[in-house]
Amino acid sequence: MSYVSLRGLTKVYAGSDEPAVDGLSLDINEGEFVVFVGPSGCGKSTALRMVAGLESITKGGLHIADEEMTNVSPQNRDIAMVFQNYALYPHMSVGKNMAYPLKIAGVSKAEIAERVQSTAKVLQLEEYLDRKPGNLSGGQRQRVAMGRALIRSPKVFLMDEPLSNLDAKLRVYMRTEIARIQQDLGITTIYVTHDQVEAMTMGDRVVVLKDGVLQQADTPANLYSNPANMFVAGFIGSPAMNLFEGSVSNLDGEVAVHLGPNTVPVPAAVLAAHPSLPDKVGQTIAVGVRPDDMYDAALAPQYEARITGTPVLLESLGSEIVTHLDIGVRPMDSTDPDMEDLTGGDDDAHAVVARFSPHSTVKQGQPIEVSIDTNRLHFFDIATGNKI
Amino acid sequence: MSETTTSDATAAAVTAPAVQRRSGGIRLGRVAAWGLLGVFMIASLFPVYWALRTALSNNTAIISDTDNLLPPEFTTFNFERVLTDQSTLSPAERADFQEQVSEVGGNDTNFNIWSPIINSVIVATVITVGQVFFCSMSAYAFARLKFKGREALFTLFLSALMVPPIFALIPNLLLVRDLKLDTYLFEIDLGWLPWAAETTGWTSTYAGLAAPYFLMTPFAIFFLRQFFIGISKEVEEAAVLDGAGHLRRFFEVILPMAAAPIFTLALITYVNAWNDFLWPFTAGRNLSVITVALNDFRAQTPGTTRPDWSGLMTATFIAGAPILALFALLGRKVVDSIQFSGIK
Repeated sequence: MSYVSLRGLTKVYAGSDEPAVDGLSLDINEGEFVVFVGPSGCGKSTALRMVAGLESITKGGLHIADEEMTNVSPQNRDIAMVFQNYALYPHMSVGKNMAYPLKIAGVSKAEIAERVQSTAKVLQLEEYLDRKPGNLSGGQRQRVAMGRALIRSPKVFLMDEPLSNLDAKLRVYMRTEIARIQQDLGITTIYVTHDQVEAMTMGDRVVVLKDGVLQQADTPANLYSNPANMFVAGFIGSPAMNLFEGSVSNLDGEVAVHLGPNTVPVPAAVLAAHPSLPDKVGQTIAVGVRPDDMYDAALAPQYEARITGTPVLLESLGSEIVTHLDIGVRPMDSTDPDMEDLTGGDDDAHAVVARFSPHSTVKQGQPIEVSIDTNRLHFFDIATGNKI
Repeated sequence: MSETTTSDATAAAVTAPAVQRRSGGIRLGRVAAWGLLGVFMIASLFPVYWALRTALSNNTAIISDTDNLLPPEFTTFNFERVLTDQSTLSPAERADFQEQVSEVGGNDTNFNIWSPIINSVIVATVITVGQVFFCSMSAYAFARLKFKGREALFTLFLSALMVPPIFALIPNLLLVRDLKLDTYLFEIDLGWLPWAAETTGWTSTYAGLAAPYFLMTPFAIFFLRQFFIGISKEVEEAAVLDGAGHLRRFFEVILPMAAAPIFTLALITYVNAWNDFLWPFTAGRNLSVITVALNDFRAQTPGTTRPDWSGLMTATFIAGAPILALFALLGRKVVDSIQFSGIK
C-alpha cells in the first residue's frame, strides 16, 4: 500500500486553458525519496505545491497515509516543506525559527528546547542557534530550513529546488547531506529539481515530467539505460543522448540502421530486446546513442560498428575528452525546451557528442573512426516519440 | 609587428585625452552638484536658524538691528517665559516675571505652552497608533488575501488619494459635531464613559480631533500594501505549513518583517498629525493643539503695537523641536526603509 498516492492530479490555473499538471498519478512508498525533475514549466513545482496544499487541486485526488487530503488545509496535512529561497523568518533566531512550528502546535517549552537541540545536533547547527538567518551562509540557512521542517517529524517532507541558490561545491556537499539525513530519518520525501544530476544521485525513484504530463517514473539506473521515450532519453544524461533519424533495413536476416552514410548493424541480443524493430524495416525511426557508448575506435577495437566523423570541438576535462563530431547526419531534437533555450533554436548547435578516453589522440578537424557499442542502442518511434 | 605597435600607440593616444576629459568632466559636475546641494541646504536651514536667532534675541533689539546675523542682545529668557505657566506664580512672582518680559520686549500673555504640547502629543499618538494598526491590517488584506472585488475596492481606496482634504473638512466637521453616544445602549448604562455625557458631539475632544485620521488614510494603506507585496510569499507559505493561521501570520511573521516601513509610516503620520492645523483649528477650538495655540498667540498680539516676534519664534522653535529630535534620532531608519522599498 502506498504512503502518498497522487490520483490523476490536475491543475488548471484561472485564465489558462492548458493544464499546468495533467492527470498525474503516482504511488510513493513510505520512506521513499522521490525526485520530480523536468525542464522549466513542466509542472513539477505545481505538483509539489498541490501535495503541500499551497495550490488547490482542480481535478484528481491525494491520499497521505491512507487519509484523503485533497481538500484538507496545508496546516492539517502534517507535511513540512523546504523552499528554494529557504523562507526563514528573518526576525527570529535560528533556534526560534526551528521552534516555531512546535510553538504553534502547543508543545511544551521543555520539549521544544530538547527537540531544537537534538535537531541542531543532527544538522550541525548547535553553535548558530542564537544567530539571525541574515548572519548565516547559504549552506547554514539551508540547514536551518531543513531543521525547521524536520523538527516536527512530519509524515511527508517536501523540498522545492532547495539547492539551486547554493554555489556548485556547496551544492554537491548538501546533496549528500540531504540524502544522508533522509536515509537516517526515513521520512518519505518528495524533492523537486531541474538538475538531473541531483535527481539521479539523490532519488530512489525519479519522476520525469514534461508539459505537466508524467513521462516516466523509474529508478535512476532504469531511466538512464531504458528511457521510455525520446524526451526522457534526451533529458536524462549529460551530455544528452545523441538522437538520429535512421532507416531500418533487413538484408538476409541481418537488421541494420542507416545513419546518413553510416550503417550500424543491430546485434541479435538487441533485436531480442526490441522485438518490434524488424517491423519498422523501410521506415524512418529515431536511433539513440549515449555519448559514453561511443569510443575512439583506435582504443576500443572490440566494438565492430564504426562510423566516421570530424571533430568540430574538443573539451578536455582531464578524466575524459568530450568530443563534438560532425558525422554527416544531423542529430534530432529531443524536444527538451530548456535545450532550445540554450541553443536559441540553432539546429547547427546540435553536434554529435562522444565521451572519449583521455588517452585518445583525437584532434580537431581531423576525421576519426568512432566505434559504437551496439548492444546499447536505443530505438524510438518518430511519430509518437515512444520506445520501440 | 611594427604595424601592431603603431596601432596600439594610436589607440592609446586617442583614448588618453578622452579619459582625461571624462574625469575632468566628472570633477566639474561633482563640484556643481555639491554647490547646488549646499545652496538648497542653506535655503532649507536658514529659516530654522532665523527662528532660533529671533528666539534668542531681545524683541525690541531685533527691530533696530535687522542686519545682524547673530541674535541682537542675546537672551535665553524667551524660552523661560514661553515654558512658564504664569497662573502658577504668586502675585509677587508674577509681577517680577512680567517686568522681565517687558525688559525683553515681549507681551504679557500667559502662553503656557505645556497644555497645547500635551494635547498635540495625545492627539498625534492616538492617530499614529490607530492608523498604523488599522492600515497595516487592511494593507495586508489588499496585498495577500484573495477575495472578490479586491482590486476594485483597492482602486476605490486609491481614488480617495485624489480628493483634496479640504473637500472633506466640512462633512467631517458636521459628522464629528453630531457624533454622540447614547448613554444607554441595549439598556446598558454607558453614562460613566468620559465622552458619553458630551452634548456637543465630539468637537473639541481628543476623540474628535483624532477621528478623521484614526482608522485609515489611503496613503498609509497604499504605502504598506506595496511593502507587503514585496515580502516573499514563500515565507508566509512556510508559516502556513508550520501551522500558523491568518492572525498569527500577520502579527508574528508579516508585521515584524515590515517593521521598517511601519516605523516609517508611524513617523510620517506622527509628524503630519503634529503639524496639522486646519482640522484642529476647525474642530478643536476649545482644545488647542500646538499649531492652533501658536496661531492664537500670534493673534493675541495687538495689531497696533510691535509684534512679539521673539516669543512667537521661541514657541515655534519649541513646537518643532520634538519633531526635529525625532528625525535626528530616527531619520536613518526612515531612509533605510525607503531604500529597502526601492530594492524590492
